[in-house]
Amino acid sequence: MFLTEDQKLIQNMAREFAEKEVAPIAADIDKNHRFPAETAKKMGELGLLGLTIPEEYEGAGGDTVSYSLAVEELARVCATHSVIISAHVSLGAAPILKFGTDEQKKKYLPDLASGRKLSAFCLTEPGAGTDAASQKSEAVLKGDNYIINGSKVFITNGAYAETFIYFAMTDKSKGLKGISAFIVEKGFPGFSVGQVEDKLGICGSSTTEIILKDCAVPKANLLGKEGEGFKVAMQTLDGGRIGIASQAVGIAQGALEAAITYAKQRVQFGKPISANQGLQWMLADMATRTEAARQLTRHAALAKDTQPRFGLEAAQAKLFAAEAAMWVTTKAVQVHGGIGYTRSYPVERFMRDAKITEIYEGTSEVQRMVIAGNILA
Amino acid sequence: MKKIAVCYKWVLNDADIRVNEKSRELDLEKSKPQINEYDRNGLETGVKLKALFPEAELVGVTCGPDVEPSTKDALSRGPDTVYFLNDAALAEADSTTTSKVLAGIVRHLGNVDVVICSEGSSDVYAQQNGPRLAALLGYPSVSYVSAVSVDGDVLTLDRKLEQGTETVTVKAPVVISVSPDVCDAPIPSVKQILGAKKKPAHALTLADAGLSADAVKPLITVNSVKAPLSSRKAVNLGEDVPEAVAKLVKQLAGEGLL
Amino acid sequence: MRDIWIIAENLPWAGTLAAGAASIGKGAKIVAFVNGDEAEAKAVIAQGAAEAFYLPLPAAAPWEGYAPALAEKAKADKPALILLSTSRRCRDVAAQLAAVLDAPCFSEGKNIVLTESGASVETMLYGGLAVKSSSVSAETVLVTVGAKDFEPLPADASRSGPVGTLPLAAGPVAVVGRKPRAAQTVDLAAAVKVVGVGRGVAEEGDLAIVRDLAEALGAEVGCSRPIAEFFKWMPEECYIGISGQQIKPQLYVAVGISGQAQHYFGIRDAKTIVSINKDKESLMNQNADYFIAADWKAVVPELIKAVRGA
Repeated sequence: MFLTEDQKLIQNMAREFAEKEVAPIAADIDKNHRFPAETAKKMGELGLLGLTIPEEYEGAGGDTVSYSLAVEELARVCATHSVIISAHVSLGAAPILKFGTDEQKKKYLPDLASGRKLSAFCLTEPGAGTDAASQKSEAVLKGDNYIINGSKVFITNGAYAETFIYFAMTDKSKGLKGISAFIVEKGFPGFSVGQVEDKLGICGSSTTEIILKDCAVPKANLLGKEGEGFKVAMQTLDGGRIGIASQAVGIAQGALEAAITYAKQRVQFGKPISANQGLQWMLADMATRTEAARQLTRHAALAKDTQPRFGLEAAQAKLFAAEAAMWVTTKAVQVHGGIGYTRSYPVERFMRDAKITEIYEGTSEVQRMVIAGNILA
Repeated sequence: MKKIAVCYKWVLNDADIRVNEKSRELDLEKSKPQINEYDRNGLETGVKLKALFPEAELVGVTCGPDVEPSTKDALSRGPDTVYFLNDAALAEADSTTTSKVLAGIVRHLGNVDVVICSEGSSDVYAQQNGPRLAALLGYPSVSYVSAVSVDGDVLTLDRKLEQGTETVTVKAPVVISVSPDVCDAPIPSVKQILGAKKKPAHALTLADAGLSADAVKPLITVNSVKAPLSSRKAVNLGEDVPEAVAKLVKQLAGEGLL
Repeated sequence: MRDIWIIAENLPWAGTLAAGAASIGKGAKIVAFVNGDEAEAKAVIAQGAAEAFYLPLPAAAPWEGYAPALAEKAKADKPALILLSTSRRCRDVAAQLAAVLDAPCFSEGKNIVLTESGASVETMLYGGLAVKSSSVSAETVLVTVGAKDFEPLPADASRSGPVGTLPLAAGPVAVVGRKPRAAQTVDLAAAVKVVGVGRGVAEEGDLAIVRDLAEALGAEVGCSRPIAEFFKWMPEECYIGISGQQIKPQLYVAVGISGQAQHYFGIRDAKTIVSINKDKESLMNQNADYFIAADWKAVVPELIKAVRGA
């Protein structure tokens, strides 16, 4: 895909930031499961946390392709940083921009777009993953407030976010049509952060439980109409999948580059292992799958900027990119051999980080459901 | 202070330059042009100066054989506008020619109070443009500037020299050449990048700079550009760490270095 | 044959330049300009100059203020070649003179040869990644020359020649203060052994391990540009490279240094270079005498043990 000059400059900028400021801490935040609060703040200052938010709300007013490029560049050195952006921009801020009232946009978006506050998206529950209609969270209107009770799991940015998109049933009898979306602030009474997850990958990101206990949420914080929550969630996830696809492409690219470097320098039987055709073909396939994933992802990003509906493109990009990332990173470890299984090289981290892209914001199986639903409709 | 000009060079990123092992020639194919890293500190010095004189115009200035693609990148780093002089004849320009062209552009701009150059460029690192430009313009030259403060049209500048720091005062107009430690050069934000297209970039010709084609003919004939042969042995001591360390220590002890 | 001028930052450097002028000019008259007093001028004559001018550092003006007077004299005398120190003041003077004379000026020139119509000179590109060999036709050619590029000739006290000075016109730049460089905590330029830290050392806390190695070796610690300028883990005076310190130790051990040309420029005069960089193909490994292509964190503690045991 041909990139505009603006897009190239944003890509360069994200790469410079990733290499200068993120790469030096990537292994450390992974090893110590440390949230990179300082670089997260810098991402805000650089406009990466408000990339696609319009300027009137203190965003940068960039397009989705630029956003995809930035996420990819960060994931190329550290998937944790890319998911902080992706969860914040695509899942936290985007639904307010798309479904929020003017008051809600003015109140919440400037803090999110500038990165002064992080945001998170609370849909998954222990008993309601893909099956969103099984939500136990419940919102009951009492006077000017909804009283929400429930808990969510696996919430990215959970312990560091201050603004949450929270889904709860306002009418259990209506199933999916009984779900509503709310903007919940960290400071609301009854809000708390529960268990912090200890994960296989993206170890620097904060993944927590979010608990609302008799939490009073002002009526004005209903996002969209009552009963529209499922629509809000699904359309938000369509956008989110472009972020995750970009992340997967970046992880694959990082692993590919590491494998190429290693293959050229590792000497066995008197020659670099890259001189072996078996290994060359492996690298060729890794490069090709990565590039195919990249093109599908940029195509989906362009679709979001130019088409009213882009769910099919987003699902295809996310499915393909996630599976490519898993495959490429596994091969990258293989290229490294025994040392690749240790923390001396970043490829084992890339492999652990890749796995989540096949799971969150819709598993690969859900993507296939979405794709099938689209092509059979 | 009304007008501040910052000169920058559009140079190849030397991190991506490879050497052909056999011919010792440089392989520039993978190297993309970028704003000379030293000049990024110069541009930020301009931004900081303009912050003190908000009504002043901050102008980026460059010249070379193919510098038009540099303008957005430069504008994202703070200038209000860029004046660039693109001319294929400048492909082999040395400091003699470049400083004449830059001086011509500064004269074309007119009434420039402070011209900011950086200490050098990452390709030739000749460190000549600032003082040359000053001499051609008849402006005072202050080089190796590590700190800038301003009171009206009087600049107080710290120069970092081998012997120590020399603090000087000088009245504008002046050409200053700044060292990288004068200030940090921040990475431009997405907003600054996207805002760059709203700012103008003006193309100039040699005639605008008051120069004839003859005036920029290269003085210098380049005979060859080759990577020097490394005289170092580059002995690989192996991947087995204890074994490699043992070999190294033996070797260094043998050379009397321990 | 026309004269060769030398313009020097200090007396030792004047000796270097005089030796250079003698070997390049083969009999040309050498006219020296040296920062200092009459004694310095006389000493330069003893080292080979035929005539010498002393240019004392003015109290209230920069030394570069001599540039206009030098330019006037150069216009009149038309020297074939002007060699100057690569010091900061002399570089500034070189560029100003070159502009006034409309002359080519080569920075850090090597293998300087005078030709019928000008000179041929080698200069570095990309911080030493390549050498550019150029020829130029010009009435006067200027070249800045490093402090150790020529071996000074032995002083011959019997030599004599005219000694003078040049006027310093009141200039626009006023010096309001000078502060000598603070006593350095490290003197890398004089160190016999140096350990260099690069970005491969990913955490500031890990500097302690590198310092242990330096202590074991009896070495000073320096660093690459990003460590000092970007991460600010070490003071600026510790930065080794083209715009930082240029060192010439007996032993240089590079830890996690990629070996960009800019850095290599600062260490190229080291006698023995050891690199520890897990990227076998890294420029640093390939430009070292010995390298270990393994994780520095595995190598350095072993090396400390081995050095202490040696």
